[in-house]
Amino acid sequence: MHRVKVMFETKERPSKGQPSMKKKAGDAEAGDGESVDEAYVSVRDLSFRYPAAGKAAPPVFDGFNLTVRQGEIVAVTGASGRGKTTLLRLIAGLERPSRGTIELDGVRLSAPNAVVPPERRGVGMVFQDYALFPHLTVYDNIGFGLFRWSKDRRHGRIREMIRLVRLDGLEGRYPHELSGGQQQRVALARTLAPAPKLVLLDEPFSNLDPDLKAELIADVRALLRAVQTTALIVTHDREDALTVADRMVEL
Amino acid sequence: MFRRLRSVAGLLVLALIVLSACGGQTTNGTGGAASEEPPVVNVYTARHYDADDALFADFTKETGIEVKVLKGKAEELIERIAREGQATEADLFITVDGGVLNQAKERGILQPITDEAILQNVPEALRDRENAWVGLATRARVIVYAKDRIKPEDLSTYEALTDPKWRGKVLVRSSTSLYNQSLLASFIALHGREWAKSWAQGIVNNFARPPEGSDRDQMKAIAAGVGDVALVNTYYVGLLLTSEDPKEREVGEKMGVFFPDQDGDGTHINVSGVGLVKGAKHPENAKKLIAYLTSAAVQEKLSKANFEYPVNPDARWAEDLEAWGRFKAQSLDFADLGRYNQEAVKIFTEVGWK
Amino acid sequence: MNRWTVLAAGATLLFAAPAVHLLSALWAPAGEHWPFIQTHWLPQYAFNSLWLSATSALAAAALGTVLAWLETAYDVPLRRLWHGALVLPLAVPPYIAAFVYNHFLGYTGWVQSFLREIIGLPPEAAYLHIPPPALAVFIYVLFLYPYVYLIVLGDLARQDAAVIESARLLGAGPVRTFFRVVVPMSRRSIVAGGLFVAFEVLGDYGLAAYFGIPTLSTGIVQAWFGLYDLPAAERLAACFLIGLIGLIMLERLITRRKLPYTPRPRPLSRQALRGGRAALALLVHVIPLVFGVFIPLAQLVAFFRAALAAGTVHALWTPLGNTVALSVLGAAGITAVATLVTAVARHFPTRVTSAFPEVMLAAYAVPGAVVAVGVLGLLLPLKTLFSFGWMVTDTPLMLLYAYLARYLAVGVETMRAAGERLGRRYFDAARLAGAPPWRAFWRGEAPLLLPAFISSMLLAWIELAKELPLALLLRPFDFETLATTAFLYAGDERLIQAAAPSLIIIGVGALSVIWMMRGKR
Repeated sequence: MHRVKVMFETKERPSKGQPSMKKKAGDAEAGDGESVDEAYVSVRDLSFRYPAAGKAAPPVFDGFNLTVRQGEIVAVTGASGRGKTTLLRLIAGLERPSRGTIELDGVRLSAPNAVVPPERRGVGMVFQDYALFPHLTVYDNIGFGLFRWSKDRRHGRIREMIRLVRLDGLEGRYPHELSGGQQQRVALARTLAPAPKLVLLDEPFSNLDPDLKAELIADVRALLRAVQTTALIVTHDREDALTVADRMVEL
Repeated sequence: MFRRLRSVAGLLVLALIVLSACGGQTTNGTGGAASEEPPVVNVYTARHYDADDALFADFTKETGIEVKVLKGKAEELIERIAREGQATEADLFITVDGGVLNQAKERGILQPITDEAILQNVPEALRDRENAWVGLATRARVIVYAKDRIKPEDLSTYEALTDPKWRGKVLVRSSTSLYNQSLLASFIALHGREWAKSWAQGIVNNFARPPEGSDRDQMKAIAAGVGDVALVNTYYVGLLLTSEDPKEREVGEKMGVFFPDQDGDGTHINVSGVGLVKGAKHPENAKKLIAYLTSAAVQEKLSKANFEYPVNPDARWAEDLEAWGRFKAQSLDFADLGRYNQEAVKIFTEVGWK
Repeated sequence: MNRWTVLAAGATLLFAAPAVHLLSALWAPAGEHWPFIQTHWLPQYAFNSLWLSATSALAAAALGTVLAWLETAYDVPLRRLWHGALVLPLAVPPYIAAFVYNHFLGYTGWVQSFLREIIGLPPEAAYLHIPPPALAVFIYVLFLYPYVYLIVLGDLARQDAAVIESARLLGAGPVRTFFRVVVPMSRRSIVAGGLFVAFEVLGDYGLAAYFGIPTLSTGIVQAWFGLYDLPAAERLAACFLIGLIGLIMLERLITRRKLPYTPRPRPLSRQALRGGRAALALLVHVIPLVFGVFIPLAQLVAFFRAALAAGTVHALWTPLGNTVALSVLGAAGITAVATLVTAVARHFPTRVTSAFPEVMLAAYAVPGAVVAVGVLGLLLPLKTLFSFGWMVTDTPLMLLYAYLARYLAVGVETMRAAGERLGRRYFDAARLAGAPPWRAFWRGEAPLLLPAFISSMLLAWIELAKELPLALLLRPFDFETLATTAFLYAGDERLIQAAAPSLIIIGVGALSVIWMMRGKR
């Protein structure tokens, strides 16, 4: 486990080496004067309305705020239709807010007129249906986000993730040859492999056999803790939320 | 709504029956041969020219005899007349190319033309030996050259075009063209297969580019400087000169026409001809039409409208044709063009003339 | 076996007969020219056919896939306009595009005239030489890519957007996402679309004949009319057919195995494009339209106006009437047979009955020249055997029969899809209420299938209205359709006369595009 941690500290973050973003980060710090340590993720005054819905439709969010500390696991709950998934998609950069800002690690990621594209945010996401690449094996799925790494480092990292999620021996399988629980672990490993600054999980326990659920929730929590990542988990089940997260936010 | 569809379906079936009945008319028309021919003549033609249609219309105006025309590919027309046998509706068969005319003769679908008036109009060289068909017009396959950079003195024979000095300069269309096949067939007839093959090989060696496009395109390529000389049909030079498109006329102006082999066998010509169909129901009208088409006045019209050389020696040539000058033509049995056609196709394949 | 099954079997046999006849020709004497054809033509022609279709299919697959992906993932400026417009080049048959482009790019065409007269280049410098094979590929790609575009677009719409989004969140930029995720995930539809284009190219006669590129299709015709050797033409067609059957089986194999789709696919939220990228995307959209729609139309209209000015516009009533009559009859026949066969396969399913529609679907991949030789070889003996034989061979009936043999697939596809949505319940309910099969179908299902009937009629009609090789090879004497008129005028180098029939054909084709794209926004 210790080795894992070391790797995370020395990893290359995709957003680094991009001067424009560094500059923005500086601006953000200077302007807000807020402690980076305190607010790792900061969502401020967020409003969103689906473009297709038209101006008359009520917004999904209106002036929403959220702060998450580094290393914290936060659960977002709420009845369906309250925009839980939309919140994740906004943080991931898959949607553009109509008002407000999203910052991560001092970098402004989203504002209505400037959205850092998803591939440059350093945000990972586990989708509800896992969204594994059907044409790639477990090994290649996990390695997908490591294309900038050297071959040896990439191989080492993939092996490590496979061990971490206990999928040894299944590297050559295709997603449709795996059980639901195994698929979820591949999805987690794939998301964690490039060491994102923030991991988003969309209803990670909804598609699972109830008997397995308790065990998997513990698994996920242990895994997120093991890599010491910051995570935002969306779930409709308050009980799951309390078990997996450090803190719960209700939408 | 659906009921209406059903009645539509009924109508369609009816239409199908009517349609197939229409085809039937072709064989069960004209039953008994009347002593007095109705004022009609049926022409099966492989020449699809507006000029021909205009002449037919004039004929009707002059004689009151209606000309019914059926257009098709020569091979199809021959095939059809042969199949219909004595029941055929065709009175006259018209096509381009002596070889094809000879095929018609050999299929036995033509009867000799004995009418003196006609035979006087057309010299022997431009008729079948047994007068199974007579010529209507000829075209020459000549060398055209870029007037601005080639002197006619540089040109002499078809064979001279195989000289290495023309390497990369010769333009000609593909060997699928009947004109090229007949040209080569004429060489087989005159000089034998070996000579013809080495000639074809020599031309291939001098290609300015792999054969593509039509005769007109070869001349446009000369205008563009792709090559200097091309083998084309005089008819197409004329078409360029009278095109609706001023740019094409411009191309035509740049072309010089040279008649090769003047000191030897003469320039290759191709003949359009007309044959009287065996079993024709309107033979008298048909002969009248042949006599009309070969008469000096009509030949002049045809020459003018279609840039073809008249077969009737009394007819004046169109001005442009006259401007290119008189020439000596190959004299050979047109039957040979048909006889050696397939040999020619094979030689083209062997030497790689696409 | 009930009588409906027997009837469907009869129809299948009837329309598969030309192919069976051709294959049986492999055991017949080969024709005197066969040895020559076999050594000199077959290898070269097969090679030409293969590389033309392979290059065109690859390029069309690339263009179609890129456009489908842009349409799916990005908010390209004027997106709503592009969607329908990108399919419009399908309205222009390649044989029309062939003579249009040959003129357009030729010495007296607009491009070279512009270079010479406006730019002032000397003729040598202004001369664009595009070798005919290259121009052929360019035209095939430009006018056939919409098949790939439509097939891939449909596939992408059924895929889970989350997979694409995952790729982005894992750091893959647009290019990597496209090549590593989109293309592999859509590879079956891309290959299916590419194969469709390949079949179209293999089957093309008009363009190859116009450009004088010897292919298997033109070779068959050449053997038939150039060497007067029908047995050799049949043998060549049979060899071609065998190759095609292999290709058809490959296609079936590829399109059969589909990846599981997510049940409720969420459409990808389109990314907005700005600045250079928007301009680039716009360019990628504009180019196929300029070359595939605008230039051909402008050129044809110019031809037509030149014909008007010269007073040489010929009346087209006869070919128009022939085209309408034949294509409407053909479409009705196709729809009727397709309905029969698909209904039998659905209601009396056995391994045999379900093979009937499959056979008819496969026929679509068989080139017109091959069908024509098969039909002719099959039907010609009728004339010597029976006194009424001419009623088939010398009338449009033979052409009509060939139309059905070749284009039944259009109807079968439409009727089968509609039948599958309908299921068996209405039919079964009617039968349980005591209706015999005919009545159960006519009263229970037919009214519900009405939109499919119309759709099948229309699609088949449009296909037949522009059909060239069958009409060219099997039409009775002095019987022209619009397509043969346009093609023959173009072959006689009378392009301005070819304009009017071409414009009508393109108009009909545009109708088909509008029909296909209706409600698909």
